[in-house]
Amino acid sequence: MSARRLSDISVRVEGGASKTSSATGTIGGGLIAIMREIAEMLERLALYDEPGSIDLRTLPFSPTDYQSLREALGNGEVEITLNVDGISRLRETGYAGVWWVEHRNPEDELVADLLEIIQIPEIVVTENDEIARSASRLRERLSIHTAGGIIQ
Amino acid sequence: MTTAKRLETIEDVLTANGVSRRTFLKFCITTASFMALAPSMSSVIAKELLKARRPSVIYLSFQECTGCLESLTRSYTPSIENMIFNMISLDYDDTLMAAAGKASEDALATAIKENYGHYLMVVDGSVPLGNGGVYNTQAGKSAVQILTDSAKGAAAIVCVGTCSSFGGIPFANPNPTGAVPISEIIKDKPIINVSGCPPIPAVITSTLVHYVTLGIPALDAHHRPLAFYGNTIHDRCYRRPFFDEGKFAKSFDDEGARNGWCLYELGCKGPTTYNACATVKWNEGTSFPIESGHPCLGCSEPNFWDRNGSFYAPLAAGLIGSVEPIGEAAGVGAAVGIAAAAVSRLRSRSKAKPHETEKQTSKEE
Repeated sequence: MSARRLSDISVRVEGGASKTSSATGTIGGGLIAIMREIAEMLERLALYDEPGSIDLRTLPFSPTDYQSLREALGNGEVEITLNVDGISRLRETGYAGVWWVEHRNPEDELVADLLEIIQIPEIVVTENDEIARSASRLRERLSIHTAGGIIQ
Repeated sequence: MTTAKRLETIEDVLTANGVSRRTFLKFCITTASFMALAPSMSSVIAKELLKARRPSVIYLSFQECTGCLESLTRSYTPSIENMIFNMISLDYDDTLMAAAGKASEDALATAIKENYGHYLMVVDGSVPLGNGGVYNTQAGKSAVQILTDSAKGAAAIVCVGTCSSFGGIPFANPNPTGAVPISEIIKDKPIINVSGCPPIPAVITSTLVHYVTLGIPALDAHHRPLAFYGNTIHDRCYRRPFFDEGKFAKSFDDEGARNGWCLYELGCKGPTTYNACATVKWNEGTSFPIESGHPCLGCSEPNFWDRNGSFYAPLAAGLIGSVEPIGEAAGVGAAVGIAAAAVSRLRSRSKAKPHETEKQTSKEE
């Protein structure tokens, strides 16, 4: 079978764009802007409870920059996986309140890649409407039971 | 809800299909990402989409190669299946529809009658005006006649591809059929140009989603959605750092080419081409031409086929970062008075239009 994606083909890019050394923990020039933006969004969230987000696909990132951002933000304590029309992974980074959100389609292709600056990403939280619907579904089932029906 | 009742709003359809809130929200997040909208717009799209009515869509094809439709059917986010089943009512498309002959023409007439004033018309292909329009006829009517008849009741027109947007390849010199873009014939309807040869699949579908949810998107001077045509390929190109460093490939097999350096000297039209290839990419986000080592041809720009002499001739240095040269070329042509053939007259007229628009928006002039 032939390679399906560009990343499957081994290509060596010499003299790539900005490089970050994770060993020394320094941040490359291209990353400083985005890190500042994240810092500002975190402050807005803390002060005004105003969430923010950054669409990583719109940034002209080289794979090196992308990897550097991942390393710079690091890993936090929470990781959530949603099974919604494909897998979605939501990972809190080393900076509390900064979530790295990856949405994949049923073919496991990345269809959205975002940073969300929020307490918990909206898609995770169950809404009151849904809770009310659950309650009525459960009540309905119980009423069938008390009327002599069978709960499976 | 009985099955006989037509599902009116998108929420009706989703509820009937048992689509969960999270699935829907994920769709909206993905769509906002593709439309290059601020991620926060996903909740606005979600709200608008739920109450939106599924618009009737009439898809007409004229002088074209069907490459645009091929591209559209390869859209994966949002997928065309998803759109047809949930978001739009595709009432006429002579290539995709099962009906043929009189049955399909009747479907067109019915769709126009039932949704008069509200349907969205999607057009690919240019329209030939030469010899009374005989170069493109369908069911005994000329393309220009079908277009003008169908456009009367349309709420808006989306021109898919460079042919319907700017004339494209049929319009290329010497334009034997007298082809013109849709905007040369229809003057009284909002027109959204989704140019490209072909356009990026997700750009076509996302423009349709934008129309359904938030109406006509913000457009540039060429009536293209700014979300996708707001930046040049060059501005968003991952090889841009090499341009800035002055590292260029000089031939397709030299060291520079192997190192992935800038393709400017090999004729890349990235600096004067507005499109989303460098960010949205092609083939389900795999890559785009420059990533495969080939310069951009500039296919989403007016007259890309005839511009600059060759696809492989470098752009003049003065063009980088300045207003594109098409209008100037047309101005020179008109001044010298090279308008002997009817075809040339037609061409300079349609060329003059974008130039005038550009003049209004350009601060330099």
